[in-house]
Amino acid sequence: MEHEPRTRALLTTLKRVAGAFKADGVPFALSGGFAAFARGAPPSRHDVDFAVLPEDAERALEVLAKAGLTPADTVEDWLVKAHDGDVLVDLIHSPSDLPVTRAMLDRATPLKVDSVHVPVLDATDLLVMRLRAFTEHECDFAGPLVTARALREQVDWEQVRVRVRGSPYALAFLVLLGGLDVISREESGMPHEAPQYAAGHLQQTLAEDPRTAEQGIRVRVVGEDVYLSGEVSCPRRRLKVVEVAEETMAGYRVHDELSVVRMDGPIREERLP
Amino acid sequence: MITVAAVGDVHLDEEMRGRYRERLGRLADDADVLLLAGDLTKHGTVEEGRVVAEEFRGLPVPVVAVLGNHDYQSDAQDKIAETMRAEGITVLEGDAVALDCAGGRLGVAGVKGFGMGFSGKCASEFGEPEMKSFVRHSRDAAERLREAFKSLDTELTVALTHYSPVKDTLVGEPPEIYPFLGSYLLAEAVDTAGAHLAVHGHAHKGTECGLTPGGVRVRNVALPVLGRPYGVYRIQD
Ligand SMILES: [Fe+2]
Ligand SMILES: [Fe+2]
Repeated sequence: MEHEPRTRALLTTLKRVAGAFKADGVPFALSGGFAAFARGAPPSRHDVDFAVLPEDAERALEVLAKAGLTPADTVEDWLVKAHDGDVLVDLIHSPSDLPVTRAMLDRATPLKVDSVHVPVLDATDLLVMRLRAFTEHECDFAGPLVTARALREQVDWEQVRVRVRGSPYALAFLVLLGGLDVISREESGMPHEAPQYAAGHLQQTLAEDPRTAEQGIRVRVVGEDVYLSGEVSCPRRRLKVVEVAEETMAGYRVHDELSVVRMDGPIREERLP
Repeated sequence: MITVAAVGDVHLDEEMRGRYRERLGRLADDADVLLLAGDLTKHGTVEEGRVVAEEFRGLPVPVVAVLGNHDYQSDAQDKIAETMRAEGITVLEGDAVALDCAGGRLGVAGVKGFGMGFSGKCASEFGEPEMKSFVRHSRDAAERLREAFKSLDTELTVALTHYSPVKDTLVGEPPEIYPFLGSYLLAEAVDTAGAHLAVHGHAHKGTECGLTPGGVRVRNVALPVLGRPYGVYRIQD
């Protein structure tokens, strides 16, 4: 395959780094734009990213220095960097506060990148990492959209949705993918039912399910969050209500704002005239 | 002068066994009678009915109960009532009991009651058979309460229901569900009889105190409303 000179330079660096890690037994996986490239996306034009374990980051940098790269200073605490000429190599170990794990590296599959075999991050891990990286200042969807389209068959979107839950940017991106039919509405996390109906159905379920039989639970659905409030008769019942709600509202976050009926107030006599 | 203790919606099951009874130690000092305003079980099973019977048996004051909608959930209401009666608890459903108390005789007329709504905003016996039977059940309950009162000759009388006779004690519940929480026909029966007090349960999020149009005190004694083991009301003629 013919590549433009910039891509050629990046690929040369990629192979040099992968070779050095292999030779020294540093566990790693190709990440970022070139991982997407290895999985079928267009080639990246920026830098070369690898995932390494947090505890291996320093050693990995030494290995690269030995191979002729120049370690670079970084202020970030989630990656280390090295230069190979004008190509920048990022060794990412704790993206978005979620350390790279051995399981993640084990999930990586060896794929051919420009004629050599390199372990490449699992497509789901890759997407999760990419989506979790969105911040207030870094939320350009254009690049990730290309990646998502290219990798959509390889990604477990259900899992992506669960793993990016904490990020409103990521959830917005998934809604966008749903709207563009890149993924299905279910995968995008768009509720099947309008929330007001979901709340009504859950309320009836809580009254009718023999495990709960609670008539007075208030249910509010806001986005992906379900809020339960009201009083239940005992602590175990409270757990049951949450259990039934979580079953009924799979994919939502259930918030327990219930309270248990109290009967320990002081007895007082009222004199009726 | 007679003092009435009352509570509803204790919603007992096996797991709650003994938890409520341990709160009843002072009952004899507090009251002449204990009224149970229905929803004594969670699902109305025979087993739960047994827990109720054992929780309230052998108390130092007479115990008079009506059942609530939860006690009907498993179609075992008759068996539950039977189990409770076997333990000396009076279970009313459209009838009354006269009790000899230290301060005089007290008549308790009891019925579960039903929904239907309140004056001006209530269902009527019109349309589908389901609607008709809904309203008919409510009318029938009120009628039976009326009849129950008629059988009493005591000076002091109390109405015991599960459903509410008035809206006052429902405040806190969403207004949209008031028609499922009570019926004004119950209040009419209470007023006709000139009762001294009406206690009910069912509206867990309601308010304790209310008044019938005729001026009879109404108390919502649902346990979640009370937040204490039972309400204590002293009544005099
Ligand atoms: Fe209840
Ligand atoms: Fe009830």
